[in-house]
Amino acid sequence: MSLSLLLPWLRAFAGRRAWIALPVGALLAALLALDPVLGPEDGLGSYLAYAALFPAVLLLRFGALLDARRRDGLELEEALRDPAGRRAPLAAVLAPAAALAAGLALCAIPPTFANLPPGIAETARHPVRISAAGEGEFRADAGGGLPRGSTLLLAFEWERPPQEGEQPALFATDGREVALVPGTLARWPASANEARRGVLEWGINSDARAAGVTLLRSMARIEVGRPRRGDLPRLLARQFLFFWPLFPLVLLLVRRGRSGGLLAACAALALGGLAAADPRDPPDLPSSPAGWIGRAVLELKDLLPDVRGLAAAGRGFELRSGTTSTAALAAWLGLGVVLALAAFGRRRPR
Amino acid sequence: MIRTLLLAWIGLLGLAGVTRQVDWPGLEALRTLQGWWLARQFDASALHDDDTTLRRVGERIFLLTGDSKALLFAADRVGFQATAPRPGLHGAEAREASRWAVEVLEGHLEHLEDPWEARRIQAFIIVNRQTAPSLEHLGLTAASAWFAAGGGPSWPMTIGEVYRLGLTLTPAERAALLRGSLRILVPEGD
Repeated sequence: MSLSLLLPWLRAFAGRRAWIALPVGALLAALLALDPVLGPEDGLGSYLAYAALFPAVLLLRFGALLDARRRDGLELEEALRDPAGRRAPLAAVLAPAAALAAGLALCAIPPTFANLPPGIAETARHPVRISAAGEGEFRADAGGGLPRGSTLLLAFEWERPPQEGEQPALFATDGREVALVPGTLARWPASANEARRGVLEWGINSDARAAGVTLLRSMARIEVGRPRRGDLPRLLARQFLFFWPLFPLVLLLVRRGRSGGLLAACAALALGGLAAADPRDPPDLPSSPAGWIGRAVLELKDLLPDVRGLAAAGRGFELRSGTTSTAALAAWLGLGVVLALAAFGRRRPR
Repeated sequence: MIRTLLLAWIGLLGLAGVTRQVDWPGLEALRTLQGWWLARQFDASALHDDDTTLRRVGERIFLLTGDSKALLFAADRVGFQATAPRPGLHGAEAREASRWAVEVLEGHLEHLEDPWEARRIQAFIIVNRQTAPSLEHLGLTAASAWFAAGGGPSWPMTIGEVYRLGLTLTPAERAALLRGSLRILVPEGD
């Protein structure tokens, strides 16, 4: 792969304005997200949300560049130079990847200079749906995979105190047990399997049932650890993995589908939005046309690998961050590779 | 043909965004920025004792970002601190503010990050302030839930001891114990 093919792309991505706009934007994002006085507790999530603007804009820029190159006849020129038609599309795949990696690496720098708000709690708590799974048995559904070390916080009302010899407890079929004490929150740690599935199941033993224990469902919460500032490079690397396959998709749509670059970039962004969608309360969708469309789109989402953990950003990002399984990641990146290979064919004339 | 399909795809995902089931990449940044702006408005209204804005912006921050701290602060400030008996405070005004705080927390209880704190605020308001008699039962429910949870993860263990003591009493005595404890726990000056 010759640098002479990559350099025009990189030069086009990083015009003078981009080199100024990106560091200034990243600095501004760090100032907004990590304000030591009024900054939100999950400032890192806010910063990631701002940082995600860069890949989105880069994708649109990529689409616009493909349009511009076609208008300028550069593609025809490359096709004449390289009749096999492999090197030019390879450059078009590698250049945005390099620009994306460089830009996100730059985004990792400003937060190191920011002061995080003092007294940030190390954990965050999120609502979880609880349903009965049998007599004295319950199921908590977090709607997707959970980070390792997640713990379910449960509160119970009691009719009477436990009698001598009684040992009220929560139990699981795999032998785990947690003692129940009136007037304290019960902490039920998710096993590795439960965290992967995002579903926790437990039962209340007979001693607890005899004491008239009632679960306060509306007060059940899942507690997850907050990523620290040192985790930022890893979180940004996940954004890279999430956004990269969208670039070959744009290239494929433009080269083989005869689509306009910007339109293809918007379609790729829409696919990214669908892959990253994290519906909180699907059953609450309104029974309006918008609700029906929402439901139909969620059906489509099941066809894609679950990469929500790669794209997690903003408020509550810690709930999904890092939950993408290796298989889903391999499928997502594999999709990108397949799209890139499919785009390598010669462009169809318009 | 492909152009039409792509436009339909973009339109479909755009409409799905209306129900917030799908967030387009980068849109979270706009929501975060709006949350940042609302947090400044909230801070300014807290400094200037503008309770009307405090209520409105606190709930808006919660609905927009899911951050319930502002809503809990607004409920505590408007429903509890601002309704402490003082010369010039109208009873009807205090009751309306208390009712708003209790009801807004009840309405959002299942989605708050810290439901224990919401129960504490509800119980403190209903037991220690002038509220409608129809809220009496909710006050006892909230107090019992708060004590049963030991006050939540950030309260000392002593809160749970009150609950354990209450379990040994009759229902009427237990209710009296919880109410009495809530009165004792009120911060000085309130």
